[in-house]
Amino acid sequence: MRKLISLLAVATLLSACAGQLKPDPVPGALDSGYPTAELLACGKRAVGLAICTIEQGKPLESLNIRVQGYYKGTVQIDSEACEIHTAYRYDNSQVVKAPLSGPATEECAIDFVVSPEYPKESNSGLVIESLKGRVWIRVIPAGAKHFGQNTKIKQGINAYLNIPYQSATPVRVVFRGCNTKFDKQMAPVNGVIRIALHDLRNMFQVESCIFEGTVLGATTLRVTWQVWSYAKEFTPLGIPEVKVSGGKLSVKADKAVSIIALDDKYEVSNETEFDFDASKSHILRMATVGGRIVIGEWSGSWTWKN
Amino acid sequence: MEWVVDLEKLDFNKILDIVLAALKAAGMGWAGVAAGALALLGMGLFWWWWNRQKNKAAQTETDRKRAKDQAENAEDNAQAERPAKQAADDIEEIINDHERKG
Repeated sequence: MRKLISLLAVATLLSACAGQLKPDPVPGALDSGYPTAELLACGKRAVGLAICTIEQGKPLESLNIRVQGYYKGTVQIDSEACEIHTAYRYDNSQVVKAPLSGPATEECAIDFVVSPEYPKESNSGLVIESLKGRVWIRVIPAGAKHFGQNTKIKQGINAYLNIPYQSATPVRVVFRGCNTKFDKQMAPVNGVIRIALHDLRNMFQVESCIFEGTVLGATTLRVTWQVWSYAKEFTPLGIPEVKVSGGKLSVKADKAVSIIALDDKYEVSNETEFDFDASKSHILRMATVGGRIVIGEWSGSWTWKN
Repeated sequence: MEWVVDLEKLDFNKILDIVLAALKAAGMGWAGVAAGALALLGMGLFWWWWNRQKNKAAQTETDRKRAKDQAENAEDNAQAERPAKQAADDIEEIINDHERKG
């Protein structure tokens, strides 16, 4: 009788506690100005921000811009210049494609909001935040050279853009955008022209800027720098401890992580183990209810993005 | 805040012994156990109801937040896109000017 009561109590509590989403003590990523939607654009995977270039007149659809859905939910896609204002429901962690059409004639930004709905049975009375993403499409003449960089920086902190450019003599560097009028002669050092964010603009607020620029020397280089400054109270999600051994991958993530997914298998947990074929490519994803994300890409070694 | 109790540290047999001993000391015996079981059931029902309310409130807030974020997406996009497009046009003009001058 005594053992039965004990067993019943343990079983009840275990079922209540297993596979529960965990609270994220950090303010939500979207509200903090930190984009974390997983973007697949111009052949690359990025977290939150991406820049694509396309030659004038080429079909916009060729950029194949997509966003990764997590579990199931809704994706909102907006772009004024590319004429997109639409929402999609997704299921089974589908990838949703931006409905681009027509030839590339002018620049456009595509903004995504991914709103996941995690399994109801794991809901612990927590608010699930959405994930934000932006792809900037830069239209360039045929044969033109372009360099782009995306930066997420804490508000008020300086950041640097390192432009690869070879020249023995100083070259003219110009930037416009976000009320900046930067126009200087600069000498590359070891093949790099280094621009400080604070020389373009101090970003003390939670805001985003797309700086367009050029380096005018013997060759013309177009440059794009997309910068988002996020709230000082926000901390990006850290990289997990991972171990590959004996056909298994063990993952120990931050305590705030609710979902760990390896390719198409997911666990509602911050610590788990998966079967793992190290000879193949894999994607490891971790998410918090606050919208913080870390992605690991395995091709013999790990490359991490957050 | 920790949501998960470390169950491995709980000895339910010991807890049951303590409860029974307390009831015996209070002179209640098995009637006390029955009363205690009813009390536990009541607490369990309350806990279930409280969790339901909490989940409902969280879902309402999630839905509200989601609708707000989606509604603001278009405005965010326009605010970022317009100055960036102007910047790109300005840069193209500067490049054309530079190339014209040779």
